[in-house]
Amino acid sequence: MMPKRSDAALQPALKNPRSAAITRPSMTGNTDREIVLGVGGFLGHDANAALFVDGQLVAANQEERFTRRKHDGIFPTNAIRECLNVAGLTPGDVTVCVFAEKPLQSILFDRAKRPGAIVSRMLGRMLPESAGGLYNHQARSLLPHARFRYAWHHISHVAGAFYTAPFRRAAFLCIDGKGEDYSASAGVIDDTDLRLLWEQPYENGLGLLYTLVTYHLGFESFGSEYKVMGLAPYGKPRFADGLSRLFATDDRGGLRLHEPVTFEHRVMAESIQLVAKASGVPARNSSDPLSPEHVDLAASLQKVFEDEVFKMARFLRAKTGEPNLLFCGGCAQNCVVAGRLRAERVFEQLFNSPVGGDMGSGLGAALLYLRTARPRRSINVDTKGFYLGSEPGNAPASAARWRLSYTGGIHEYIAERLAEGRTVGWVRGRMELGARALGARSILADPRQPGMQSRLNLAVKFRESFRPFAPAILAEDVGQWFDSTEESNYMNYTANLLPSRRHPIPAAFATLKEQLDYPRSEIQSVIHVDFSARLQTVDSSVHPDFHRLLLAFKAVTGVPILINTSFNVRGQPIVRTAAEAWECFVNTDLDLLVVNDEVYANPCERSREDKLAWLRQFSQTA
Amino acid sequence: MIKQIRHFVLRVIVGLIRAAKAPAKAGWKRSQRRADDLFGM
Repeated sequence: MMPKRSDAALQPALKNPRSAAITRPSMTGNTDREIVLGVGGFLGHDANAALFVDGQLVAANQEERFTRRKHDGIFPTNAIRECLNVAGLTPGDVTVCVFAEKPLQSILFDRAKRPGAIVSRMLGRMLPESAGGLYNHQARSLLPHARFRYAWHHISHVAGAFYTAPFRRAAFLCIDGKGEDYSASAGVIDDTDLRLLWEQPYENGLGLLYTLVTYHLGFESFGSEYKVMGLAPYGKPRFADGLSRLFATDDRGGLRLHEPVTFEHRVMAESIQLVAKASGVPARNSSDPLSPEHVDLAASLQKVFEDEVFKMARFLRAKTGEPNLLFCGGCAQNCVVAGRLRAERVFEQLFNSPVGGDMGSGLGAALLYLRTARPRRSINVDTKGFYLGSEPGNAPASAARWRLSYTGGIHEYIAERLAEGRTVGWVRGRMELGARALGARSILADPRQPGMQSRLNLAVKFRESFRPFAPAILAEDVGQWFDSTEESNYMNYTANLLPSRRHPIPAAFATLKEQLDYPRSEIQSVIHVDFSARLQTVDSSVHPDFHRLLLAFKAVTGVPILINTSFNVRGQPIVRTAAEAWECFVNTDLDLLVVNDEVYANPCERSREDKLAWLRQFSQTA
Repeated sequence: MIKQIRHFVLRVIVGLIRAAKAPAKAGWKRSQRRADDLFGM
């Protein structure tokens, strides 16, 4: 669990557990099958659900995709119902519901502001299952026949990572904002043994530092840490020493802020003065332009963060001697540090789970239950390329007159349009679980087109111009373009463009825009200013349909790479249905929309003002 | 009434934790938890 939005988010559940309207379902009570539902994220953010039927993963969904509120942390009723729909089940069929957190421990800590691990653990064991009503009332109403279990939050992350990893034994390092009252956990896992060896208390850990400086830099909305990560390569880490005045640390990666800070918005807003004092860089308002000092502060934060993560990983390697590492938790979503850890071989192999953050915590909790309940049976998870969500359905009737006819295959037709410089919304099959679009709900474009990065950022995504885009590249061709041939099927590692593919650049730039626009390579739009890129290697066995499109694009252009960014605008969750895709499409400057095998042209009927007015509904979470 | 009792009990527990526990120190410590403990809340 990363930061909580605020204590206020918890209040309705504590004060009025009956406030949410949930219709009691039909009580089928099918007892012949083991129906295990994992539920995570609804004490904080990114509420989600995953469903296993007789040990097989059937579906997983995030609540934000239904409520259309980014990072939504309410009880995931819609996500649960959709998972059950996919399996043809009703809520009454669920036999076990596993939560990806221990609520009592978490709630008591939030109230006491002190780690109460032993006290709350004892209380948690003493209380009967029915006493969880404050927390699981909605689940008990929805799932009348389910037994309830509670997993440690970090171990839910670990289980989710382990069963989707390519190895069967590993050390694990979970670095998070907050899981119950811990900020980091480490140990060893294999098919039969799971040992939790070390932990760091929540108070003022690494995730908290990153969020604090993110606030200071004017990115106050929840979950904006990835923007700072994207900004960092533009700057120099000249404030790293200043930032280090904020905390004490040791050679094993233990970190503690000198002053008490929490994830609560009010506390965070008041605490940014600490960053200003330590670094000498004044806080930025969200509407102010980014100054060179702010960019350098972002670079400094990323350096401090990477240094601490490396110390933690080296400590774990030395203590366990394990050659493999599972890197998970909210902080592991920092794909830059994951890429560096892998490239510098702190461990021989590293796996950074695409659902290692909270959006996959329900999946992990369910896997932990299956492992514990059936210790002698092996668990094999078919992740289906993490295409675990809903089918898109059909485009609205009003779209029919904009439908285009084409001859030949859709992959070949769209590849030709992309090569002409068209931007395409691509909606095919079940949607992805996790923060990244992996070729089922994507916006695609040709990375060779001059100015494509600015065009997509400003006219399609309506977001900051510095934000980089990720390349999707044929897995078999990755070694011809980047310095890593290892898989990154889920866009979870960075790699560097080969020197032979780089264009020479000046030693210094006068402005951020000049640096951004300078032609660094043939595929400028997906290469960051430091020549890094967050890769999606597209493997024919993992994402066959998307692989076919890239093959077709390569046949047209000779380049096996496309821009792949999530199908949404700034502050909006990724589109789920064809209707949502159509609405987003007509309110942006995208050229074409693909819904399964149908292609639509953009009506271009809405003015810039109309589009900005539509965009404003998402500004609260931007 | 039940709500008031519930809040009173919660306050007592929270007060006990505040009084009994010193702030945590930085760094790794040996875990006292069982990773496969799914029963306690």
